[in-house]
This record gives sequence, C-alpha cells and structure tokens, in this order.
Amino acid sequence: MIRVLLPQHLQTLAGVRGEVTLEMQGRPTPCAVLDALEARYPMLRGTIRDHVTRQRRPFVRFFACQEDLSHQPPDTPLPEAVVTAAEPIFDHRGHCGRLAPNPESFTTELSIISGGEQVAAGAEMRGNYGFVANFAAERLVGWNSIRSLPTILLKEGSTREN
Amino acid sequence: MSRVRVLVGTHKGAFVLTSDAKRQQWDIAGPHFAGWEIYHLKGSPVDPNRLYASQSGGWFGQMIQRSNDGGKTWEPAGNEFAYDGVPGTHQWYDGTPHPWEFKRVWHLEPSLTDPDTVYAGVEDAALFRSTDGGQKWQELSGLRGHGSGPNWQPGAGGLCLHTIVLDPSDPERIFIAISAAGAFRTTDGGKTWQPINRGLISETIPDPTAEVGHCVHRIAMHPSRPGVLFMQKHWDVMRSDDAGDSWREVSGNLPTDFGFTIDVHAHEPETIYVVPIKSDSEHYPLDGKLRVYRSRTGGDEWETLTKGLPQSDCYVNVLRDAMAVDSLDSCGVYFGTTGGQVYVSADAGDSWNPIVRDLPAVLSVEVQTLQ
Repeated sequence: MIRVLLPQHLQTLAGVRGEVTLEMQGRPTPCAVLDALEARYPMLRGTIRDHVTRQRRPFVRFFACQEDLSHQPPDTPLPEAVVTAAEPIFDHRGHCGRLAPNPESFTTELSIISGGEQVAAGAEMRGNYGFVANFAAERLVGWNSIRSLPTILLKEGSTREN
Repeated sequence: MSRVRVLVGTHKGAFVLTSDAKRQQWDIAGPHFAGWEIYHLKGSPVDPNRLYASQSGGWFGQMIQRSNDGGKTWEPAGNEFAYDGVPGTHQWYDGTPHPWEFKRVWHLEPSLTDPDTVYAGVEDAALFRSTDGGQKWQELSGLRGHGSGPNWQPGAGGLCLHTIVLDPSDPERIFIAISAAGAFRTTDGGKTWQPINRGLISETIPDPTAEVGHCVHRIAMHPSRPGVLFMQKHWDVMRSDDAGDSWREVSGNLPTDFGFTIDVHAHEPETIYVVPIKSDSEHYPLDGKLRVYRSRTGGDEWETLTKGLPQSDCYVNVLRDAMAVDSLDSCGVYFGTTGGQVYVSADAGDSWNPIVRDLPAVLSVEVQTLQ
C-alpha cells in the first residue's frame, strides 16, 4: 500500500480529504504511483503530468522521506519507507508561496505562527528547514488555514521569518 | 416570471449572480473553483441548466467543469486537448518556428441545438468540439491546416482562439477569431476554413492588409442578422455586411478605437456597445473615466454612456469576453472589470449599477435569461 498526500486543490478535484491509499504490486515507482492514482481518480489526469508528453507539470513536486524525488527518473524505485507505507509520498506544489529549503538540517519541535496566532505546535521532525515547515503546515493545519506565510518557532528558541 | 443568471469567470474562481427581471436585487453564489482561473463559463441555449466552465491554472493545467443544475453543483469533464496529427509549428514572438503546445481553453461555446455539443477555443490557437458533454474533445484541424497556420504569431496574451460565433441560421457556418491571426469562417461545419480579413488594416504588421496576422479582439453578431458582424480589432471597430467577406471601419467619433469587447443589443440589431480603452500597454479607460459607448446606427455615430459609472480615478480594463446582454424586454447590458466590478444596465445602457464591486479580476461575463 502506498500513501499519497495530494495538494489541497487536487484533493478538492478528486473529492477526497487527507491521504489516499493505493494498492500496488511489486516495487512501485513514481510513474506507477501516478498510473494507479489516475486510474482511481480519472479527474486528476492531466493535472500532475501532461496528457501527451507524460512530463511532470513544472510546479508539481514529489516529496517523500524528507527527499525531493521530482528530478529522479520516473521509473526509479520509491524509498522503502514509502513502499511499506511508513511514509507518504506527496504530490506537492512547488515553492512559490511556500518556504524554500534551507541546507541546514536539524531535528526540532516547532510551532507555526500565522496571523499572530499559533496554528500548530508540537511536531517533532527531522529535515531541512523548508521541508519541515512545509511538512508541518501541510500535515498539521493545511496550507489553506494559514493566512500568511508563517513564522516558525524552533524548539531551541531561534526564530525564522519567511 | 423571467429572471437572469449572470456567469462570471474571474482570476480566482467563478461566481453566479441571479436576479429577477427588475435586476435590482442580486444573489451572489461563489466562488466556485476557488483559486483557479476561470477564463470562461457559459450555458447551453437548449438546456439553461447545463453549464460549461473552463478552469485552469499554472499549477495543474486545464480542467473542464460541467453543471447540470445551473451552477449549483459541478463535475469534472474531459480535459485532454490533443492536436490532430503532428501539431507542427507557428511563429514565436521573434519570428522563429515554435511547436504548437496546448496551454488553456479561452472560450467555450455551447451548441445552439444540442446541450451535449460544445466548442472550445484554445491557446495555442485551435478549435475543438465535444459531442458528449465535454468528456472527449476532437480538434477541427482544418482550421490550423488551411495553410497559413505556420505564419500565425501570438499577440501579447498568447496565440489564443478566443471568439466562437455560431450562425443560428446555418449550423454549418461558424466564425472564429484568433489573436493575432485574424478572423476565419467555415461553411461546412469546421472541415475547411478561410480567412475573412479583407478590409482590415493593421499598421503594426509588415503588410497592413495581409490575409492573416491581424489582432482581432472580439466579434459579435445579432442572431436575427447572421450576415452582419461587428468586430473590435486591436485598433479599429469594424463591420461586415457580407458575413466577413469584407469589412469597413465604423469607429466614427469614438475617443479611441482600441478596446477588447463588443456586443449587440438583444432586440436592436443595429445597436452595439464598446468600451474604449487607452493603449498601447496602458489598457485602462481614457482620463480615468469608465465609459461605455453605444451606437444605434451600427457604428460610425457613438454616444457616451456614463450614468452610474465612475468618472474619475478609474483604471480598470474590460476584457474581450467580459460583456454580455440579456434578452428581457428592456435589454440588460452587463460588463465586468479587472478591478472586480460587475456592472448592469437594465435600460440598455442609459444607466448603470454595480452588482458586485470586489470580485477578483473579471475575465468573462455571460448572461442567461431564464423563464
């Protein structure tokens, strides 16, 4: 079983909320996941990759296990943690309106402040700054709940504005 | 009792505005498809509850949405627009060949006789047709294939097929317009096409009277006189009395003959409306005054309509698909602006009122008159 977390607009289009799960045979690849996803949700055809060229739309990115898989060949086997459903794979929007990755990597507990309010807290995560923030925003509250680009408060007390 | 339903496509979603025949009190529904660009939505003349919408965006490409209940609920239809055969090339901005690539649907035109048949004008310019309610799309490739396609060049908004006019007297005759290739006509249901640009003069292209290459912004027709066409070209308001075989300029006393939209009164085939816009590049009303111009003589002689419209500090644009008329006894005229206002005139343009003031930028306005 593969867990896929679609961006909010594609969740709306597909009529789903949160993660979707796909039963896959063999060692799945991003291409196979997309095939299965489009078979289950035909309305998504053409939205993640072009109908004709089958190329990923430029702003759509695939993240899993704190890695950006977008630029790997589409027939590259997915990480073990995705195959075992320990981790989801994300069909993500790109970084416009999001937080750019920062090369610094850390393990932290964080809070997300948006519009002067704490909208999420307590997620312990590992990864670089941008990924952790994106992950937390998506998983904990959903990007649509965030009224402005958030301030991330790291456990050790440092503050980063974005 | 008659009522009207106004379909508004915006930069960030679709809105459905409804009112009774007085057109004074309005219900606003939306946004539908929030966050997506809705280039156009339009209802079937045969089944007014059947609506089609073009939903697109830079992130996830093109969707077609369909409603069977007048816009209350929607379902995704087909979104595969594959060019017929080898697409070939058109000219790019710098004159070099550029592969034909589908980008978005600019305009949807439902059939006058069949609610499941709908035409789509797309960028890069081509005409598609669906006969199954928008599930599958087939290009009418005779348009691109008639010979001049490799010479077509995009306008500032892209190489877009934005106007589709169906002839109510002859289902085989269709008029389309492309920026910046010009106007074309088929008389065999879309198999073959010919350019209909004789009389157009565009000083900004190498041959001002070329057969193709004109930046036509919009064509309008009154259904009772399908041989008479009105055109807002990039510059110049034009008229044809022979179904496009020839055109003559009717800009007359307009303060500027640049603009995007043009439409015809529902009951007076010689009464037409335009919104002059300052250009090049500014694309807002002259002197900050939003003015509609009406001609009751089919062009040449124009009167200014300003009552109820902002007459100072107004710097919005009115795009090509953003004007429409209803067919109530007192013809209603509607237009939307890039500032998010939708205006209505219930007295054929004499006076105007805003229905809404603060929508996202309005891309298209269509009206349905319902019984």
